[in-house]
Amino acid sequence: MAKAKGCPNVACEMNAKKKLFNKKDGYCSKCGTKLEYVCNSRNCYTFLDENSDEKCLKCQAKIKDLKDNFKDVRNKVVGGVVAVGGFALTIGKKAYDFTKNNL
Amino acid sequence: MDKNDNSVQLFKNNDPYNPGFPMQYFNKNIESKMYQADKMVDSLLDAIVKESSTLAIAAEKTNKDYRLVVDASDEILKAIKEGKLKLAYNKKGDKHAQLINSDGTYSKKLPIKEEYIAKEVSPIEMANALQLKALQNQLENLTEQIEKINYGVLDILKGQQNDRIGLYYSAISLMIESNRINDEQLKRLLMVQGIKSLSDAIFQLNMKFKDDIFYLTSKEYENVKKKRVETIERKMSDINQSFAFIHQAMILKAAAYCSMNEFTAMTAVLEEYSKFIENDIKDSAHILAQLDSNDTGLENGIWKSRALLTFDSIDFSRLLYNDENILLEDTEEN
Repeated sequence: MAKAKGCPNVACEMNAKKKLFNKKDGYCSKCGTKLEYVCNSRNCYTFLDENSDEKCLKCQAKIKDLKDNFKDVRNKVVGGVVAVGGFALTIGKKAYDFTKNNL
Repeated sequence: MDKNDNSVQLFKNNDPYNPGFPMQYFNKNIESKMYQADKMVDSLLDAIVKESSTLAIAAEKTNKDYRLVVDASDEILKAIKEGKLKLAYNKKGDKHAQLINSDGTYSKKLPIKEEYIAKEVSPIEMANALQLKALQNQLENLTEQIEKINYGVLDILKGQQNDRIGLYYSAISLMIESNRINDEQLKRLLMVQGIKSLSDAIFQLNMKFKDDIFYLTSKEYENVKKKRVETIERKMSDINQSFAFIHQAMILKAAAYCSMNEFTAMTAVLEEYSKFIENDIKDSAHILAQLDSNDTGLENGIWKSRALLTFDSIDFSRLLYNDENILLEDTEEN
């Protein structure tokens, strides 16, 4: 998502609802206050300087933490599947050997 | 220190461990000293009108109750002007109240009269009053800015404890004791020890504050995988806590100097506070605004508004150190 703008007027409904405007928009459609850059993450609405990234530093950190956690979960799931697969193979091989020797 | 000072009443009535205490103490001291300065300036003007001389100003240098003045008649003054009489000189070239004839022989002695300095004008108090009056506008602006910051830090202060903060509370404790002591010297000594504790607290808190800010601005938290947000929040809490106590300690230190009539030292503390904001906060305010959950990031948000605290220190110093001009301006106007 590209850079977004927000209404800095705390008395405005758009500010209360944390409404994100397009970066090309200049003024708030509700109160007419000059729009300023905000973090484009949902429910953040931290106002940023013009040369900042599209997300505030804290949201960037949150995303990185989420990615780490996702990687962690994925690794555990993959590890679990591999372990179950390995176990199934062992059982399968034993069953095959048993069948082959006894039939 | 003035025994009737309002700050004494503040110590008795209010709980000094209340987070609002330093600001109240600072305001009370400024208010009280301004009131005294107004009274002193009024009595100075009365004295100038009564005496119509520069006695009060001269007394500041001599620190004496009276001075002896040569009371030469018009005839003697005319003779000196015409060169018929001369004043005697010693080897260093200093003039003496002894007349010498044009032929070098000693002439008659010059009469001397005593001039008493108006009792109601204390030269030291007068100088303090004039200094403080000269600073009045700057102090009012600064107090307004400090109060805005103060409003934001009070909630942070509740229930905080560590060694650095212990020094701050130790200083308050010493100041309470000093306000209950009758002996002026001991009172002053305890106040000075309190100021020393505040300086130590400010120094230690500032070190921690700088380290924490550097940690965040250099994005060192990026290395703490899965706990970046948690680390940021912990560091921001520490930064807010350090800032709140540095702010309180600075105000209390300025108020302590004010209560001792040390206005030059008081303004030095306020300048130190302004420089602390400029050096340690101004450049990183936009980063702190993004990382502090309670900040909106706007110009009137927590960190950007804190970064606005400045005052014209050059103007402050000029007004304080140029005593002679203040005195002349005051006398010329009246």
